[in-house]
Parts: sequence; C-alpha cells; structure tokens
Amino acid sequence: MTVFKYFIRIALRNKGVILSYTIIFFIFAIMNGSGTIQRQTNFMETRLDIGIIDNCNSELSNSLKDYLGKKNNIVDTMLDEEYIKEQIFLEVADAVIIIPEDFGEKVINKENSIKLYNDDRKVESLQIQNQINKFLTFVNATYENGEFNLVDVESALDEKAKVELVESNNVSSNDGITMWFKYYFNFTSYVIMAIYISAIGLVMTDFKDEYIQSRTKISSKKFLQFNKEMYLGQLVIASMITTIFILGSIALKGKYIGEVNFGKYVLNIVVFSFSALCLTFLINNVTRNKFVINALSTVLSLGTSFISGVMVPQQYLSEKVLTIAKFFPTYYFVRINEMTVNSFSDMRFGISMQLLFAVVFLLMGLYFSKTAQKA
Amino acid sequence: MKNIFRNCIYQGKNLFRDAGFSFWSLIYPLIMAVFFYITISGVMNLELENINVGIDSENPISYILEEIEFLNVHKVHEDEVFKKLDDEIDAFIDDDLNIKVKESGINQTIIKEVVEQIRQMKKLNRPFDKYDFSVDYILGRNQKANSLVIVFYSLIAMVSTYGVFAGIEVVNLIQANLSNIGARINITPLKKSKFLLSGVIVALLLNLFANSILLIFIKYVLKLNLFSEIKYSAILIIMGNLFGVALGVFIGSSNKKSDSVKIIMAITITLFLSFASGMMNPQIKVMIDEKAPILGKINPISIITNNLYRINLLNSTKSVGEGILILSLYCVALIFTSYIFLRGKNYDSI
Amino acid sequence: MVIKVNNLVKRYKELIALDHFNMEVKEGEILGLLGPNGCGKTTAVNCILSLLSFDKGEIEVFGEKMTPNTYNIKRQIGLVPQEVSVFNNLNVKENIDYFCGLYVDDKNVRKQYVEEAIEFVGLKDYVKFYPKKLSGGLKRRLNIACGIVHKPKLIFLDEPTVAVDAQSRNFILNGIKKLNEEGSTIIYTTHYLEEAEMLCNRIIIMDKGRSLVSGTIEELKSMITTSEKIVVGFLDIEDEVIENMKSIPHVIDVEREGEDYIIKFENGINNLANLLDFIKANNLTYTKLHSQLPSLNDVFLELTGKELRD
Repeated sequence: MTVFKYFIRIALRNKGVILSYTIIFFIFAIMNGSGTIQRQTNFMETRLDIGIIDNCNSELSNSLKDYLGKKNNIVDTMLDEEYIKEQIFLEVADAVIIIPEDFGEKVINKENSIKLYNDDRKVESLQIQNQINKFLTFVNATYENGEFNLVDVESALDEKAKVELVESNNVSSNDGITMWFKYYFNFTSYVIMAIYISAIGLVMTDFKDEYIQSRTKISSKKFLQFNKEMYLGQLVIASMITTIFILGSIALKGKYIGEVNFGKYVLNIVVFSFSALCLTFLINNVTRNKFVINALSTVLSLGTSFISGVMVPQQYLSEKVLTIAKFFPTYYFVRINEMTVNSFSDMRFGISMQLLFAVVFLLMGLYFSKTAQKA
Repeated sequence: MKNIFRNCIYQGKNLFRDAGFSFWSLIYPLIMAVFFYITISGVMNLELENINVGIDSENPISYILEEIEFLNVHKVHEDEVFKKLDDEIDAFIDDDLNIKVKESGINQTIIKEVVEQIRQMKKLNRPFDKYDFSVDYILGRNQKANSLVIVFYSLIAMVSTYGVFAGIEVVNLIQANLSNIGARINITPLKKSKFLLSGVIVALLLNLFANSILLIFIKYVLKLNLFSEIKYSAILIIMGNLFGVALGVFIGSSNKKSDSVKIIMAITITLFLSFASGMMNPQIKVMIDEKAPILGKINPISIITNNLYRINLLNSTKSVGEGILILSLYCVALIFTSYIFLRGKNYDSI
Repeated sequence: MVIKVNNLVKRYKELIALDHFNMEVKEGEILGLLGPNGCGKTTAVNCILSLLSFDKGEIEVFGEKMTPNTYNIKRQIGLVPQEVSVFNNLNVKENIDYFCGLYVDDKNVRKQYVEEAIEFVGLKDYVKFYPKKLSGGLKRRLNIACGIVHKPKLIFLDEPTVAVDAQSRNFILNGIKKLNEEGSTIIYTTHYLEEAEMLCNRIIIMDKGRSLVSGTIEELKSMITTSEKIVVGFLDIEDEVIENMKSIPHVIDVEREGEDYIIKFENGINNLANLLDFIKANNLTYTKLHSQLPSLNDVFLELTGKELRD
C-alpha cells in the first residue's frame, strides 16, 4: 500500500491550505453562533430594532418609550444624523425616532411630533408608523381638561388579539437553532469544495508530473492497483475533512442536536462530499497545472455557493440565476438544508440529483484520462 | 532617472505577462462582481407591497379593513382558510376577531396590531369622534437601507490591495537568496533602492489599471452607480493600493519562506480582512461592529469599505480623515520595517 | 539477448524520429547509446520501455514482447530518467521507499533494499533531507537510487551525469560498474565521450533515427581510417612546407587548430619516425609534439561529419 501511504503523507504535508480555510471557517462559525437561540411553537410577534432619542423626558415621552420598548428591541443610538443614517443603511436599526423637547405641545396641536428615520420601501416602516400613530391617536383621544390619561391608554394597549399558529409544513423553519445549523452546513459545502479541489488537486499535480508518471508507468505496480490506492487515499483525506466539519457542528452546538434533523444534515453533507470528490477527480484529469487548479478551486467553490443560495438565501435569487445553479450539485444540497424533511422520501430527489452529478463527473473524468493516455 | 524608467518598463512587462497577474488581478475581480450582482440584484429593487389578509364576507370589520391603504382584503370562506394561508393571504381574521396564521412574521404582526387596535379602542372606551385618525404625527426622514451593496464596496477595497502580489514579486527579484535574478541584480552597479522604487511604481500603476477596469465594468456593464463623490473615493482607492504594495514588500522582505508560501499569506490576509469587512455577507461586518468595534476601525479593508459607502451613499465624510490617516500610518510602518529588513544583507545561504 | 529491437519506426506527424532502428543487447554488457541531440536516443528508450507507441517494428525484452501490462518484465527493469524525477514533498528516504514500493510489496524486503540503495549511492548522511536542499550531484544520486532500489536486471540510465560535480560523477560511474559486476545489464545514454570510453563494452552510435555503427571501442576505432594523430606546435612554418608534409607516407591530412597543426596518419608503423625525419630535414622548430590515438569524437566526425558535442 505504498502509494496510499505516501499519498496521505504528501497530503498532510500540504496541510497549510486545509488549515487556513478550516480555521477561518470556525472563527466565523463561532462568532455567528454566539447569539440567542429561540424556540417557536407559538406565534411570535416580530420585534423591530428601534433607536429612541428622547429630548423631552416627560411622562408622555416615557410612556411612549415604554410602549415601544414592550413591542420592539431598543438599540443604542446617538443624536448624530450621519450616525443614524448609517444605522438604517446597515440595517442595524429598522427605525430611529427622535422625540423633540416640545413633544407634548406638538401632540396636543396634532402636528408632526416625531422625527422618524427609516426606509420607506420596507414593510417594517409600516409597523413602526402604525405603532406610533396608534399610540398618539389614543393619547389624544383621552385628552381632557388639559391632561392625557396615560394609565387608560396603557391598559387599553394591553388588549391583545389571539393568534393561532395553524399546522403547516414549515413548522420549524423560523427556529433559531435550525437557522444556525442550516447556515453552518451551507457554508460547509463552500469550504469543502474549495479544500477538496485545492488540497487534493495539489497532491495530484505531484503524482501527475510528467517524469514521475513515467516512473509509475514502467513500474511493476499494476495499473488498477495503483489507481485503487490513490483513490483510497483521496477518499480518506476527503472523509477526514468532512468529518472535521461534522464534528465541529457537534462541538459548537452539540446540546441542540436533538432539536434539529441532524441526520438530514449529515446524510446531505456526506452525499455532497462524494459529489465534490468526483468533481475533483474530473478536474485532476483535465489539468495538472498548479495555477489552474488554484483558480478553479476559488472560482468554482465561490461561484456555485453564490448562485446556489449559500451566501444569500435562494428566495432572493432571480430565476435566471437559479436555472444556472441547477447545473451544480450545490443547488440541490442547499435545497435539502432549507426544507423540512420528515422522511427520506422528501430528500430523495435532492440526494439523487447530487449522486447523478457524481456519476457524471466520474464518467467525464474517466473519458479525459483515457484520451490523455492515448496521446 | 532614466534607469528607473527603463526598469519600470521591463518590470511592467514582466508583471503584466504573468498569467497570475492577469487572472487574479484582472479577471477574478470581474467574476466576483458578476456573482455579487447576480445574487443581490433581486434584493436591490425593493418596493413596498401591500399585505394580504383574509376575512369572511359577513365579518363586520371587513369594511374597516378595506379602508386601510396597505391592506389587500380577500373574501375567504372558512373552509378555504388553511389552503389560502399557504400563499394567498398572510393571515385570516375570524368573527371573534381572532387570527389564524401559518407562520410568524412581520406581515402577520402588522395585521395583528390592526385587529388589536379595534379591541383596544373598545377597552379605551372613549367616544368615537375623539379619535382623529387623519393625523400623521410623524415627520419622516427616509434613508435607503441597503446593506447588501456593501459587498461591492468591500470587493473594490479588497482588489485595491492586490498590489500585494506585485510587492512580493519585486522583493523576490532583488533578494539574491530568493531568486536567480536577485543574485544577478545584486552584483550589478544598479542601486537596490532604485530597483525597488521602480518595482513599487510599476506595481501601483498596474494595480490601479486593474482597479479601473473593475470600476468601469461595474459602472457600464453591470450598470451600478456606486460612486457619487469622486475625489475622496479616488484618494481612498489609491491609499488602498499603497497599502497593498507596502504590505507585499513587507511580506516579501520579512521572512525567508518560499514564494508560494508568501502568496498564500497574502491571499489569506486579504481574504480574511475582506470577509471581516462584509464582503461575503454584510451581517458579519455588522456583527463585528457590534461585538468588537475596534477591529472594524483598524482593519484597513474595512476602513476603505466603510468610507466608500459613507461618502457615496450617505454623503458623510466624517470618518474619511481618520481613515486616510490610519492607512498612511500603516503604509509608513510597513515600508519602514521593510527597509530595515532589506538594508545591506549578507546572506546565510544563497 | 536481453533486448532485441527490429526495424523500429516512430513518426511524429511528418518527422521521422526512428527510422528502422535496430539494436541488440546481450546479457551482462554495458551498452552505450551515443548520438547528437535529437537523434532519437530517448525516443528509442521510451519505445523499448513501452512508454511510447511506435508505428512499425518489433521489440522484445527478456524474450517477450513488452506491453504496458507485462508486469513481470517490468519488475526486472529500472529507469534513471534524464530529469530528476522525485517528490519534492518527500525526503530522501521516503522517496526511495516510495519507488521501491511500486515494485516490492514485502515490507521487510523493501526495508532492506532501501537501506542498501541509500548506502550504495552514499546518501546515508542525507536521509531526512528534502530534494530542494540537495546539491545537483546529490540530487542525481537520489535519482539513481530511486531507479535501482528494486535490484533490476536491466537498467536504463539517461544522461545521469549532466551538471554533476567531479566527485559525484566518479561515484556514479563506479557505482554503475559495480551494478554491472553484480549482474545487471546496463544501457547508458550520454554525451560525454570519455565516460563512454571508460564505461561501456559496446557502443551504438545513432543519428537521425538510425544506428550508424555498433561495436566495441576498438572495433569502432578501427573502422575509421585515421588511426593516429600527431599534434605539433610549429614556430614559423610556411604553407609550402605544410603541403610537402602531406606527402609523408601514410599521411591522410594536415589540419590547423589554433596555433597547432594536427597531422592525421592512417595505419602505419613508423609514422612518428617519418615525421621526425621530415622536421629535421626541413629545419623546423617546434614547441610541442605528441601523439594521440583517435577518439570517439573522431569516429563520430568521420561517420557523420558532425561533432558529437552539439
């Protein structure tokens, strides 16, 4: 098993590439996962992120702030127009309101009382506008004898409508922890494709060097045996890499595994890895130029990830893009991660497509290796 | 002077013909720009749409709902509710003013608040004419939220630092222990500093050329207007170039590793800094700003990205001065340390 | 007959690389394959090794036709290619072990072979070194070790001493002699005539894809008419005298090379004595005079009209 042994050894000597990608990936995975995870079985009101600057500090303004604070998340902000605009631009805050000094007067006079920074095109603007206007309209409705009756307003606003979350197919699609796993494994597909092509590819350029190949060809190692050992080596390296990422997810969010369909993610990533490995096989039979392999590794991994919805969810991508994406296994991989799977048959289509790609890549690779031999 | 010029021409040809340069500096950014464009074009043209709500035709409040501008009222029968909730309506309101939904979301929340208002008015128990719904208490200041477009600025920032590869190459050429050419050059009467200078000039020019190609591509092919303020933008991009080349010279002169290792270092550093500035997903940048804002301030690619969108989209130049200052400090520090490394070296082994 | 090549023809589109090439190699001999650049040496070797396909002819190695699948024959063959072909990411010992493993499955046998190979090429002090850190001569030694570690009976060496320091070169040449003494048949391709003269039993001279002559060194030298050359450094000699010199018995030609004159004699007993008489008779003065036997270069020159060192 000499070939196998040395394939592994050379691969491990090239561990720089593998390590860089892996370390950067995990840094971001850890940073991403440090937020809170929510569970949802009941209807949850959407809370906006709102910044409030109160220049009045009266009973009225405090009451408004309490109300808004009950229904939304308050974020820190500064009385600096440029700063506020950037917060809106970056979507750090959905809205920022500034309460003027003469707030009370303005409300009584039914004038523009509050400055609101937001993006008019977004539906979030409706919510905040409704809330503010509702509150102030109620407040004015209680205006009697020169006073507002804020207590009544507060208690009225406590009235709630009952919302029933009807059984749907996407029971847990908004679940915080599901989202984390989904993003984690989606990004894993990007990293795996990049690492497979560049790391395994780099080792293969050594073996495919013209002169080393001569030595190989005249040796008494049987052709079949040689290739078997080499591909076993590739398989072992590939499995190691995929396993590291699977274990990574367990290490980071192990206690939540029971709440998500972990088996789905594992099966999906294993099938995808196989597909990516076959793609690597194809590439290695097309070129042995280190430079081309590096370029392909970056472009293919980034490209397919972008158009398949790894960076930006599939729902935001245009039809044209998705059509092109369907020519790559990543698309089907992401689809499975996005949907709720109750049994294997739900995944059947996506898994079969990925396996189909694997077979196609293999066949194309074999074709190219045969034509290379004839030359 | 003539020497420097001549050197520039030859080093220029050398670099330009290098396949690595042509691909990574010229073509790769264009490919990335196309990918970004494809993915975010769907989100960029946002429009406010009405919210769809279903209600039984007999329900007394249906006429109230129909008065509300942002609602589309659908007359739905009890039996159809389950099916219609899938795609046609966001929520269904029944006769007791209870709401049925299939998912939690902002549309559903808005509908909930509308329905609640009716109940709340009852609880408040004031005469109807006291409610004046025509008043708009809000003075609106609109600001487009478009965090995704940051990826473009981040890409431009990253590409402006791609002079790093040329920087590494120049040092490679003048170090006798790093390349054969280096050995040759060391024994000629040409002063190393002149060679280095011409190499740096060439690196800057070529990278600026590559950057311009990208900018032209974005403006005329992808038809995205990212720049409204040219002066400061140009300064920032030039600073980025200086930084990149300085970084390359530093990497090249600071260690004895092989060429490929240095290139990987350059790629890793620039990619990492770009990720952190939001190139792949703006959320990452937001997260860093939240959790460790100082990192965002010292990340040179973040400096360029942030200032680019601030001056072009938000019309704010407040952080430009600070940004340019920090970038200059980086350049000076890198060049100074490189100079110390490069001075009069006798080599342990060639 | 270890190798038999009959009428081998190989074409690259319009270019004929091998033109009815013939070759026979006996067991236990060291055969030198000589010829100018582009004459087809490496092509011939590659065809014999079944690395290249050929258009016409027959090749037999160890009595069998050689194909990519004749693994039992391959086991007996070793190749030391012209380019140093080793893994840059493996050190000396690992490289030798890897290539041995392509031939020998048994771990213990392999271990022994590897140690012996390292000893043989004198790289014991460098086992953990990576190829990048080795000098040209040491790299070549590694290259050789990788090619012969499995103790093959037939060894092809393609220009193994190019750009190698004198010490390594001597080492290598002695090593090859030892291999031959231990029973291997050697095919040796080279440009360096002194090496060929020193090492080889038989020589084949190739040009333009065919073998021009083959035979032992003596046989080759006797094929040409020039059997002796006398080099004289004359002071002040006139052209007329040079012309007269040509009528000394057995003189073929007189040539000028720089400051010296080379007088070529065909086979004859008193060539030097006759020349000395002539010099005395014409009152010529000379600063140097010595006799040379013709070299392979002369053989080659006569046969092809070209210098061997292209």
